[in-house]
Amino acid sequence: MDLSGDRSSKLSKRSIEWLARPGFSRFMYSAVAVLLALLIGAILIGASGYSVKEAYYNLFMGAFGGVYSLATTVVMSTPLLFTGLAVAFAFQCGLFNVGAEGQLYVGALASAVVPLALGGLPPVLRVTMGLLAGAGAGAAFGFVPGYLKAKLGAHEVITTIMLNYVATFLTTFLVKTYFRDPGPVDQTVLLPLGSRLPELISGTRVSLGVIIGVLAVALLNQVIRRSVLGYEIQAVGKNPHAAEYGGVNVSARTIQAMMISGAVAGLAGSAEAMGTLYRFIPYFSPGYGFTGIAVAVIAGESLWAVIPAALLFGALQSGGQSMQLFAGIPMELMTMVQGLVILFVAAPALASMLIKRKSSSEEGGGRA
Amino acid sequence: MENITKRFGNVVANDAVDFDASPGEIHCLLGENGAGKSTLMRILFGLCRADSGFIYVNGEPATISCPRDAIALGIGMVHQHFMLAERLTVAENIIAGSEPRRHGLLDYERARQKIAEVSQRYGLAVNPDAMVEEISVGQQQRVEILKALMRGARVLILDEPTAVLTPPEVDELFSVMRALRASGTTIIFITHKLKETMEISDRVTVLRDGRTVGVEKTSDATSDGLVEMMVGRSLPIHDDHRAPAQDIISLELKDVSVAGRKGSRARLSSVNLAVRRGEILGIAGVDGNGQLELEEVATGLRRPSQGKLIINGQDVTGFDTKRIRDKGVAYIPSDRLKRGMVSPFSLARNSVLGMQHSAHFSTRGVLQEDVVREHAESIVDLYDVRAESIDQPIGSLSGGNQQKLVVGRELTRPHSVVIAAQPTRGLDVGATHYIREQILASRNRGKAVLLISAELDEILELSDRIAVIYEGQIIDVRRAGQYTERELGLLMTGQRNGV
Amino acid sequence: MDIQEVVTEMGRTRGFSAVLGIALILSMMIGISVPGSAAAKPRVAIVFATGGLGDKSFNDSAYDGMKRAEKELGIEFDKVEPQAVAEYETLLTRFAQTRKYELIISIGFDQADALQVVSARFPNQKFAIVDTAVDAPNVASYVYKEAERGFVVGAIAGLMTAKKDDPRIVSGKQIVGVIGGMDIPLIRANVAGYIAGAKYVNPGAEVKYVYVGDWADPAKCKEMANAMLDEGVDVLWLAAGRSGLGGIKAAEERNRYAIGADSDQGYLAPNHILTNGMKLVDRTVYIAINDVLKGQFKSGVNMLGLKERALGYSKSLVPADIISQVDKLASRVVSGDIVVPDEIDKVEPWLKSQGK
Repeated sequence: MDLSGDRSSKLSKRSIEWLARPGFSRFMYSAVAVLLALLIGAILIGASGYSVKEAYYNLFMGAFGGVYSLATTVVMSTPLLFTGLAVAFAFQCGLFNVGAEGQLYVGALASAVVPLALGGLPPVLRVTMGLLAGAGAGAAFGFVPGYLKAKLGAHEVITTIMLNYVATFLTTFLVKTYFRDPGPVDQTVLLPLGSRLPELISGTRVSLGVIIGVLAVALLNQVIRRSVLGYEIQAVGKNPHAAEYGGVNVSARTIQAMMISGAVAGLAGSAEAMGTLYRFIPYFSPGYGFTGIAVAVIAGESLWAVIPAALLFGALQSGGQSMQLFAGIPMELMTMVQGLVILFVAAPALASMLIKRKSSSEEGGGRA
Repeated sequence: MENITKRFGNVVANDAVDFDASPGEIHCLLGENGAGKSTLMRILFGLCRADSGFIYVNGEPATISCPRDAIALGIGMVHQHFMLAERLTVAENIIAGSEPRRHGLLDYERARQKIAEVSQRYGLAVNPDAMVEEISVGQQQRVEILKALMRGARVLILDEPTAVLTPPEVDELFSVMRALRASGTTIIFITHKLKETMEISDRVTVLRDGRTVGVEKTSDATSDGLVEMMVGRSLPIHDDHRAPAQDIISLELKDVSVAGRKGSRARLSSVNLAVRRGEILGIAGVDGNGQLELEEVATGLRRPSQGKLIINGQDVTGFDTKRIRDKGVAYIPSDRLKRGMVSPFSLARNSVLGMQHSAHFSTRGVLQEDVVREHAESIVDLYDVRAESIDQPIGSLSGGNQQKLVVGRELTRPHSVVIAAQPTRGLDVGATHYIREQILASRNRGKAVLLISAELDEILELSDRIAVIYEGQIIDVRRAGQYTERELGLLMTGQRNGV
Repeated sequence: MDIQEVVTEMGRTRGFSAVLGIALILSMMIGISVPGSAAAKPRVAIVFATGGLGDKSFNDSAYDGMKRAEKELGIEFDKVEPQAVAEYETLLTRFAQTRKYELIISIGFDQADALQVVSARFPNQKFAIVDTAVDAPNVASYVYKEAERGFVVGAIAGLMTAKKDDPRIVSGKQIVGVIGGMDIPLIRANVAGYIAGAKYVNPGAEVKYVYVGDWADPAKCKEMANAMLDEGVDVLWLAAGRSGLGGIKAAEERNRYAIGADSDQGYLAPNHILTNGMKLVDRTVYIAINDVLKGQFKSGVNMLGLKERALGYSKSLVPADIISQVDKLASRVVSGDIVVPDEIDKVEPWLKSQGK
């Protein structure tokens, strides 16, 4: 009994040290993990009878080879930038927002519909209102689990998962019933040019969304590091009892953190609806909200790290496309390689986070 | 034990330590937390192995690589945290691992007889058929001692045995120890409490920073000398210049009750307390008698089910913690790790916990980092917090230094009332002394101090008046001088009669 | 040492050498050379619909067509299964960028947006899209004469409902039905063909039709199917996408005949799927490739029907005598002798003009 206690505290101490180490070695670690995942992926690809050479050549070229590939990597990273940030921000408050997917859907629908109703306004205003609508819808869907957690103690993981269903079905229903574009497909009307996020590099679909994403990271990073709100949110996340002692309104901060997280996830939907698809299509997301969890786990404590983490997944997605297109690797193998990367990069980080959480609640006994 | 060295990573827990104990003596192993006492005894009991050094038992070199080896050599150990199965009876716990058998079956009757025999011999009265979860902590400790004796221990290691006991229980433990000594058992008594060392031991070995700094016969030693050995310096005497107590009530609880969970008794019932400016009101009591509820009610962390909380003449019942604290309440919480600090936060960030929203530290919702850092630096300086930097996480500091920062933070915020709950729990002698001084200094500056402590010494040393809490009720309040230690001890266990 | 420790350790001091080491192993496995461009065979690319391969429908059928073209027309092809609608544009672009494909094929109507954009960006690349129309000078749209398929299965239904000795023809009222996915021109053309076919072969037959209003609501479709069966419908065609599954289920439960749509849905209810109104995407894809290779690429709308064998029916449970009657009828459509009306309003006048 005593021994096991010793071991876990040693382990947790080590992981804290690991997390506390400067960014470079953390980056190094991630690089090792990615390479390791690719190595095992190579074995699997080879064993399945495909050319490893061709597969990885295309993976690399598809992600980084040339302007269009780089642009595609950015395009694929953009929604993950938002969802990753949303999940990472909720982590700061000790909340696990599994509902980014649903928040993204409501955000996307709001952004695909509101600008249409504002035809008379100048484009800048229409786009701004579209973004605000997306953020607002996401925030509303963040408010619900936040409120349930703060007032009734309902665990946010469960409520957010359930709200994901509500969001996807609700948006589908609304599209079919109120906002349907006449034609064979369930989708909203195509947004006119003045209601779209401008394309930064023509012909690539790299939109203003990515800039907004980076700005959102910068802004929330400042909120966390500099503001009283951020201080209190972090205090609630790291030790709610101490936060309460420090005069923090734990319920209010919980709700606010969840709303901010939801708003950011909603913006992921806005960026997709206004910058990529130019409309809302039911079930358009291939799980951006869930991949965002992986992004946030890799990013760990640092919000800035969301940017490279999102780029990593964007690159895998974009390179994976080429791998499929030109090396004939079936989608399943490609997804498996991506899964390996998540496993290797994220699993230890997740494990150490869990251990840390456990140890901080048990710390009392261990210390002399 | 000769030349024992043990390293954990970069930390040397034991550095060429020599230690010996003779048959039939109570040998005190004295030292601050982290001095290496427990490590040394864990080596002796086979819970960890020394990197180098030798162990001799009865003059023979011995290899002890696991507790079983130690038990075979007649060494027994009672840990600070008991290792008993709660859902089994006392007898079952004692025989577990060495069950007497007859025809391959458990011979429960014979086990009971043996237990009765041994417990009678040393005055260790326990009921062998009671469930462990039903008996008191003191009795559980006896079960542990019995367990060791039944396995033939001739050397008994007691790791901080008094930490969990009430004063009367301590007295009983000491008489058991004397009886054991009389029968020739060697007792190694690990402690950091001087008074107990002076009272019970025959010889004392003092450890500091993993080294033996002295071995003395207790009869030749003085308290001050031992403290100097433990701490490495002498401690100053408390400054006693004080502002005269005034008859102005700063903190008052009127008829405060806190309901228990459904069906159980109230946590606090009809508590009336008044703390005046310039006085320390000590709340004495055995842990778990409503102290936690008292501190939480007084700081707004918990709402009383009945009664009023009045601070500086204003009824603040039902206010949240922020508003109550803003009325000028400094609060040193009993559970430092849970309440008093955010472990992963830096010292700097912890230094403003509870004041993050004040106009001094933030403007328009933005924390003024320079001001915060300056504040942290000044606490670190003023309150002697040993840290590499104010940017390191507070969780990486020792308990004593964490507590100094907490105390410093609370006593530097604008306040008129201090609520200090278990302010020195788990701290070493140096830090304890320092923090007690700060509390006295605060009183001397005219603050009203509510001191809640399970350490009777602390209550006696600091309080101007003492209230005794038992089962959620204040059962007695007097001026400090009007109690004897024995009286207090009895009151704390609810025995009003005979006082 | 646990894994975390290993990796942590690597991350700390040996991070750089670890990266180099693994990179070295990887590069040995991969080799350093760049794959050279291969054969001079004509290349074709195909972007499937989001359902992916294994859908037992459009994608699988299109894949069959590609494989046939590979064998018979001597092409090579690359394929991709998108996971999200948002990917279409990138995938089409990536294929187009290489400039090595004679033709890039889009499967399914939800690729129209993306193809509109990409085809404009690559005016020298030829594209084809199946089952919807994209108006661009370099896109050949392959759509179907929906009414012809309705006509064939309608004729089968009309003949079947008159077979009083069949155990699944229970009502004896000679009523057949069709449930459409949505009330849109494409589905209305199917319904019109179906009515025309049933009444052409069996003037006494009655035809009922409704629309689900949703491509993916099997429950609602099942409800509607049950209502129809209650009224005595013996044979029911489900032209309603995924919603149709509910109708097939209803027919199976009530022991009536159902007719599948698009692909062979016999596996869903082997004893109750009478036939299927097929869109032969494999054939369509083959035609599209063949057109390009022969220099007959034609932008704009290319209508395919029974004549091109891009529409048809499956023999499934259809009795031999009905097969021979229907095949005769079909050949008259192919020859142009019969022109099937594609609007419901035009069915009655058309029947009259045919002397029925």
